[in-house]
Amino acid sequence: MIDIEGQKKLFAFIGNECKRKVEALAIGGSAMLFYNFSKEQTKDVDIVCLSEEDRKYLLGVLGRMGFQENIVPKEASLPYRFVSKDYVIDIFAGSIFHIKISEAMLGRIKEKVDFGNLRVSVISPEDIILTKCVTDRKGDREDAMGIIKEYNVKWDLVIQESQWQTDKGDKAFTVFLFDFLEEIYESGVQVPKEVLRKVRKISENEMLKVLRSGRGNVKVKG
Amino acid sequence: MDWKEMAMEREGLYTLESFSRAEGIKKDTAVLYLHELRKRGLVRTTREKRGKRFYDVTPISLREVGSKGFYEILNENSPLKIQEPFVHRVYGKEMTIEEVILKALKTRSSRIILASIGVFRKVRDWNLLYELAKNEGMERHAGALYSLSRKFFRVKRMDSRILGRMKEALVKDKFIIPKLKSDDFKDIEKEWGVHIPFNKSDIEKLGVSLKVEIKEMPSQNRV
Repeated sequence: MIDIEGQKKLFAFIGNECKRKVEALAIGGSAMLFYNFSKEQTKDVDIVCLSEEDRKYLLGVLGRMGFQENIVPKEASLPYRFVSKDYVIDIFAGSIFHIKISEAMLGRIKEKVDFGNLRVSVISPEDIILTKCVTDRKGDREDAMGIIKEYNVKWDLVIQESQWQTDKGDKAFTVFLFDFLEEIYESGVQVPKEVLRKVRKISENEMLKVLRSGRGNVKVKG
Repeated sequence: MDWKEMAMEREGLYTLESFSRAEGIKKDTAVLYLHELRKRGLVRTTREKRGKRFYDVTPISLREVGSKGFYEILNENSPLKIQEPFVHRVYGKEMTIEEVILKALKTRSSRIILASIGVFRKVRDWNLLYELAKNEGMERHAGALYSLSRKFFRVKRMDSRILGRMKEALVKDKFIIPKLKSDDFKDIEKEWGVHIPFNKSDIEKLGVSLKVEIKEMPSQNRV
């Protein structure tokens, strides 16, 4: 487990090893540590580089620093995992599983911290929820519930982003989001019904489009 | 009392009066409530121009990491304030005034560069400014803004050797902001070989907000 102090030291360590400027987004639990949420520790540090080139450069830096490559992804949207005695770092590039880094998401960045040559940008709490929904681990659901309990989530942003992701990114994104929010709702955490209805509508429309285009297995009349 | 819950309920910008009205409490009690919220990092106080306090109540805020960043230093030292698009912080070192000027130049944003003209008053290490500008190939751009700033503000004189080196530097791009030239500062443009993106009226806006007496400019049109 790593807390904000440990994370700051890690980023400063990486930033000092970088010989050129690199920008990365802190997502998930790493991003939550930058806010004063109740969560004060995270299992692993998740960062997203904005380009594959930056990711390759960071991988080289981590390799030189003595981190061991633990997971090598088969797809670009999956992370490289680097581990050391004290730290686990997942490094994505451009997308996180089923979610792409959008311009709107970059516009919602709340904070940028320069750790030497490494600039870490902190995504908004709404975007943390969105990035949590695609990983769908128990811990992620709990983190998202924590955010919803402690923060007035701007749900219109969540809906706008899910529409963008469906249009420009992975078509299945809204399905993941709907399942995720519904599970949270069933756990007793306040997710507005209107939000659930809108997200379901977007995912249903997308499924119908897929079925009508003949890419699905079921044929739809009309 | 659950202060976090109160912050969630009352999220937004308040004056002392509007906060006491919203909570249905006396002003004295509102001061105590805001004090408790501030202790827990749930309220941030800002002051408007006339000194009146604004209270920004928010249930979740960013933990303070590192030291002041670009926008904060720029706003503290310039009469022209910039709306921060995000919070910028620097970890492990303090950002210097000279770095702020170079960063402002690199943004190529007219409002940010205009704000940086007021910051030249605070420059103490001209050599650092020169070295930073040299790394970016912007020696003449920084020098031209220095000359412009000296026309309006009381700016410490740059060492003549550094000034000479800045003037001798090669210029890659004559524009500080693409396609923008000045009608009023031809003398500086000629001296430094780069185009100033402002006219007298732009800088006067800066001076008015600073309440600094602007010296009479030698106008190009005056006979």
